[in-house]
Amino acid sequence: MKQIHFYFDQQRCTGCAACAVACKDWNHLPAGSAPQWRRVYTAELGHFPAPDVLHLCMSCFHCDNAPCVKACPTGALYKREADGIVLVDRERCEGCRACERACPYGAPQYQPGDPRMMKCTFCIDRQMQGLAPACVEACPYLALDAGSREQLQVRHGKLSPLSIKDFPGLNAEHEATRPSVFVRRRTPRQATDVNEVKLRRNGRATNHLRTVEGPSTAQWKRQAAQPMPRQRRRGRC
Amino acid sequence: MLIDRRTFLGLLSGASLGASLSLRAGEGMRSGKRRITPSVCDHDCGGRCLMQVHVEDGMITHISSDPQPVWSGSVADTLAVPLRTCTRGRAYREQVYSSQRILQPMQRIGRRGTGKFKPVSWDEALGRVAENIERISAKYGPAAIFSGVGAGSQSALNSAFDLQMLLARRGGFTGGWTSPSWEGAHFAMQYTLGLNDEAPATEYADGADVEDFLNSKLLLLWGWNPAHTHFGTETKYILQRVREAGIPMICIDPVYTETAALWGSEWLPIRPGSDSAVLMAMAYVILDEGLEDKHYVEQFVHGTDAYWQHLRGTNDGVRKDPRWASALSGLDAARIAALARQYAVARPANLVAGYAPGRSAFGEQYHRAAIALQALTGNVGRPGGGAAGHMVGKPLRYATTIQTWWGQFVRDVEVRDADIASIKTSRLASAILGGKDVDPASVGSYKALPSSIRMLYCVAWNLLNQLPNLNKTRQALESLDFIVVQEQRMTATARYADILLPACTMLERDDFTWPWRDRGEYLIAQVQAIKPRGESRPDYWIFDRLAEKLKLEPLRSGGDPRQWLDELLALDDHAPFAELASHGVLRQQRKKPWVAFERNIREPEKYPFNTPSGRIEIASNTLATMDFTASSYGRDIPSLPTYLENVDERNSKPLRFPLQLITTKAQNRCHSTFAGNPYLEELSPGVVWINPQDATERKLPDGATVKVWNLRGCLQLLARVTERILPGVVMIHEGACYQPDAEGIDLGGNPNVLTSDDTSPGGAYAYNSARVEVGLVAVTDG
Repeated sequence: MKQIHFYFDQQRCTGCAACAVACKDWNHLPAGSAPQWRRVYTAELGHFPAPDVLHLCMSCFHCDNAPCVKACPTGALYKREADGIVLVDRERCEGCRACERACPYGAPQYQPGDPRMMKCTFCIDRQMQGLAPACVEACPYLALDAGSREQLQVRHGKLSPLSIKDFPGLNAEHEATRPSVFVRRRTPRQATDVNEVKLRRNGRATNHLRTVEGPSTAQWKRQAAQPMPRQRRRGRC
Repeated sequence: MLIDRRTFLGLLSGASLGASLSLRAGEGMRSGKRRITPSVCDHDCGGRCLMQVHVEDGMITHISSDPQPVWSGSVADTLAVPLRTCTRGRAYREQVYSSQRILQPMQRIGRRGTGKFKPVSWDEALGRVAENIERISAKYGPAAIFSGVGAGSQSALNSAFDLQMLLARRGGFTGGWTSPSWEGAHFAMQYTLGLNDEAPATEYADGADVEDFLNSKLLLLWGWNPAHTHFGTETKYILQRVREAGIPMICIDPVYTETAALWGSEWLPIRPGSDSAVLMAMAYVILDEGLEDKHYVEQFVHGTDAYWQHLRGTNDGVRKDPRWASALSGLDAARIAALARQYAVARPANLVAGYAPGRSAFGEQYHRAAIALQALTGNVGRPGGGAAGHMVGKPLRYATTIQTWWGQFVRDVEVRDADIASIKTSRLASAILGGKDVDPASVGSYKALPSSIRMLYCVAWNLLNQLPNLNKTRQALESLDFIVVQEQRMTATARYADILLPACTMLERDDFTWPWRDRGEYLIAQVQAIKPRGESRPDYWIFDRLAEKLKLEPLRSGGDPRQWLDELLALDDHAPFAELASHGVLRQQRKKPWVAFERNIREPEKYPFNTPSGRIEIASNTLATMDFTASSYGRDIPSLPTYLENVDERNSKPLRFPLQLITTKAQNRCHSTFAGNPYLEELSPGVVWINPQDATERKLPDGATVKVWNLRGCLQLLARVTERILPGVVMIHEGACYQPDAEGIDLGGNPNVLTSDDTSPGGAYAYNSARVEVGLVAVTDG
């Protein structure tokens, strides 16, 4: 199976989130911290006078071993043969949120008032027109790229897949999904105490890399109780 | 659509990057009801980035940007720097369609500040404005009208300066002469390097092209964080290249900024306000160890001996050595000495003196000390060096005449007309509240005010957000007879207007603009994407109709804005607007980076420095001889770079107000432009940065709601407890929406409720000199 990958250069990211805003602009997502298909986590390390800061720019990583696809009881989530993009068929989604629990990256997301899951599409609509994903095209620091392994190798040389060492909060669960992203790691400065870590997303403290600000389970249950509109299923794109 | 987009992409990737970036966007790209037009932000960040506005059925559907370059391994490989918009530009659709937009002319019906208005027609609104201009100037004199020309919108045709041109023809106005950004730098540049307002615009430059950073062997970024402030679209790419080339960049800043983290080779946390002390101690080491460029100093520098006596403490008995500076700055004395040596031998070295440390109680001293250091090491006028001054580059070849056109016009009028007064802008509230009898020196007027200020006309100026001491400013606004605000959104200032005139955004009109001087050589078009929303109108249209109401000659003849744009472009021999619009960007690749004062160094006989001695004046002859207390500065200013303690007179009790406040730029706003945009607000709540040491003392957990206060005011926001800031210092980003509650506590988290409206002796705003205390909301009540 072919696979398209993201490339993230941690040595260039300033955490400005132009990618996140561009993603919302292109995909017409509402303002607010959920949904946020593309998001930036910031880790503050060490102590004054030797602190350091790292960013991890995340979206759905269209994993090789996608736990969301496995967890989906209705078959709404699927991975395309042609390019390995993981998509959701929103008409088959019953909103059970199993994918949300299964994904360690917080990629499957819900927006208020919508009981069905939504997620990063790798800007498949743009790609079909020969355009780069919105986030990639947006990065003012040229820290993001996308392409096949071969294309990325030509542009960036040796590639390293996302690893636990890239960012605090990443663990074996993240590596096990075999995410389709290569990272050029920024090593923290000497003298920085890397064990002293504070994680933030959208300027607020967090202690994991998931996104949990979707509707509460109670809200979801109320929404899910409403009958789903029956629509003719469109073919997979 | 699909084919069109593909064609579009094909054209883009085939476009040559060089003399012109051929976009084939704009009018050439119409396809049915969908089209893509080029535009560019004209706000006050200095960046000018290409925006592609996607329009479908008269609605903006997406904003995209410069897709160039196709990726390459190193930024250095790219032929031309991509002009990609930042986070803020990406959220521009919301700027246009926001519920905060003012969509019709309005008249106030409630009390000022409550935001209660009723819609009126353009005819009625402008009629009332004209009527009040006439009434107030008849009663008090034309200088009773303060022209609030803001920096929120900086395009060629839609320029806030039109207001001053109109009022000048009407008989006069009062304006402001100090800049909130860089007055300290400007002062230092005048009296050290000899550049002043009277110099021809082509000579008025002490900066260098940003590419010149690549010629340096060492960069000291002093209080400068372009990762947040941008300071030109190209700056960040050049800094990336500097880092990739392995040129050391030392960041001297109270905060471990993104610039320090990403591009800096080292961070030196310095106590705010002690910058001039550290710079003087570096000069001490350099002169003490004979590390100065002796040949250069002999030829080009005036006052080195006097400075050395001053540093040795011949007069005051205080030796300004690294130990002395260490106690003031918190930096290690040995590190200061080592830094001085490292800097002195790394020729050429560039001390990039950011404006922020100059926005303090004695800001000009910091800039004077920085220029002195660059002069002693022979770096002024040398490629890879720099003047450490104002960072004003030479006017673009592309826009020389246009850039000086507006200032020139107002100056011409000023010569003719006696009734134009000028005050320090930050002293506006004092001038209003003090009336005609206010002490001229205290408000920065060189003579008694001809009239008390009774009316305010603001264009793209959110003064009740950006001026210091907001509670006092609010009181001043409440006392005025009449306030006109010409604005796109319902700002804090707009809520105080008697008449609101809705200006349209840059995506709703034709215009063009260019980057700040020395931050890129290109012109860039703003092609109208959609019709102005509601009854909002372009600024030029509003001034045109107002001229009619005032029975004045129109500012421009004819009625076609495209023709006016053509005329403006013709001033610098450019092709008509239609051609610029079809390209989007017209770019000029420089052959060799330009550096200010290069010719003064190369041909000193022919081009001496424009100072009394003809040299760089570390000891300023003008400052030594002129009585500044009798000038519009109103205060005495030392003739040698001098460390003076950073004071906040009103909040001087160290036990009550132990923390030093600094106010810096946010990544998700440009001053107050973009404040309240939900797509940007979601990225960060309003926070005060505080070191864990100070937070623990006050029992403040990370994320807690806290109050920050001093005797000027109080605000509420969240605590961001972080190791990235020096203990004893707190930081709040400027520009948040001022929202005072019933008790006057600002719930918007705008730090200007705490800052002082007093200026430095040289006129610099003292934004970074306020002292404050922080506490948990529940505990600090009462």
